[in-house]
Amino acid sequence: MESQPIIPLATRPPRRVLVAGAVWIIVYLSARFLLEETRLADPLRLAAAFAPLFAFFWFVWVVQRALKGADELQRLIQLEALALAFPTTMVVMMTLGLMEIYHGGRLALPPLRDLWAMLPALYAICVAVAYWRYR
Amino acid sequence: MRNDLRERRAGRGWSQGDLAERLGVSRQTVNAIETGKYSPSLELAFKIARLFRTSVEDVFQS
Repeated sequence: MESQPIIPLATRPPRRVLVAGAVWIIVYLSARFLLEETRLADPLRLAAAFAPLFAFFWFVWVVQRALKGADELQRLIQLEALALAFPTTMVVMMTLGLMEIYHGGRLALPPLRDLWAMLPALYAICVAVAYWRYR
Repeated sequence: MRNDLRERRAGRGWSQGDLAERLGVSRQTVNAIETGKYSPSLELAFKIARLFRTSVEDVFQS
């Protein structure tokens, strides 16, 4: 099969992925605000609690499309970033749990509902490290 | 794995971006292959060889 010139792939993640990620976070924060700061009826509170799921599914769809359009090195970079971020997240959570056992009680850590923010930050660092390796 | 992709590209007067466009990959991928930081898949290696009208063994040497 002859290679055909196509539009060169971008090195950075497509803007759509960043937008979808931002929308997901905004929906989550909005849902959290509605649940914590307002007095809605129960069905609306339940709807607010599940609203981020729809943004999540859209985000996953956008990421899947971006991955299909990425070249083999970009995919490898994402894989290496995940391979680094996932066990690092595990070891952080494990260590925090062990520290709590050692301490004999609950440590003054952020609640679990806030610890998720560590994951995208860690993943972003791992992506940056993987990009740097192949720069 | 060594390769002479940089020399072949320069011989055609192409930039890394030009080659990336012809191969359908990112400029970073071309750079990583040229510097030996990344070994391309067989599919991409064949694509490169076809583009320069040579064999994979001529471009890539172990």
